[in-house]
Amino acid sequence: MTGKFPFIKAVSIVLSIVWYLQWFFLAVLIVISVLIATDNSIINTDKLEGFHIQFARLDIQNTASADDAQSNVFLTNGEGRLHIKDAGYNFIYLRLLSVFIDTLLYIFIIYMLKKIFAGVKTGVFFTRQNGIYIKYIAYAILGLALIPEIINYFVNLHISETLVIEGIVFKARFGFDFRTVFLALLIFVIAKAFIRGAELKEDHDLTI
Amino acid sequence: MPIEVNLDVMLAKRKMTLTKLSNSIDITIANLSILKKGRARAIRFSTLEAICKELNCQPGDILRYIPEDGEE
Repeated sequence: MTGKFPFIKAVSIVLSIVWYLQWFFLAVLIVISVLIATDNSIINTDKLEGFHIQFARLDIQNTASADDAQSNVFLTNGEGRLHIKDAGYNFIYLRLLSVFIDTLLYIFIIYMLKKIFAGVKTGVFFTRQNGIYIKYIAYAILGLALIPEIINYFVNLHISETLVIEGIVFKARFGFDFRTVFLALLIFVIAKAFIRGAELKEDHDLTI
Repeated sequence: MPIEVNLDVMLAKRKMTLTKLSNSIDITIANLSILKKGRARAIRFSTLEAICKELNCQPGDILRYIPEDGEE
């Protein structure tokens, strides 16, 4: 038991550090949002590193080769950063919303981990309630995979519909990290097995 | 649950305490208490046999089926 103690203590410390860092990050995010909303001159949004965009297809029109022959040129399945100087703030607000949701979900996951870990410390770990917490973590990871991507999709859609670049046509696409979704499903299955296991343990404990 | 445990009644009839029963059948007081209060999910045949032997009674003297509301 003494051998396990440093590990438990180390995990506890790491969880606490990440917990406070997330809250600090959230506070910074709120301050930046308020500053942008109230006084645009404090934060120069033109210096932002552009917007991450994904497009299904980018048609490049009016192309000409060396022999002046017209060709149909297009890019597919692309992504990159789009820099727009003096842009409106709607894109930035949507991006901030995306990061805000991300941060809240991370805080929620860490909170659930802290609750589960409290059980490890006290020795009461294999309970139905902990299984439910693991299930909530699976839902949160699913949210992490999907919610920001949904927001990004609408931003990209808005860009593709409003941004006019001569000779280029954007087509937005919805893309999400399949690995994260798969991870969420995996954790969901583990949570279900955990809950069933905890129920069986309870049955066993209450069999006289 | 429609199964009622009458262990306390049988103990009273035999003028025996839970501690004494616990010592004689080698089951902890905590577990017997769970059984007595009706919080047990299941009971092993071996446990039932030991209790019946010690209290000199039948399983029906300890367990009783009470139909729930709406049941025939």
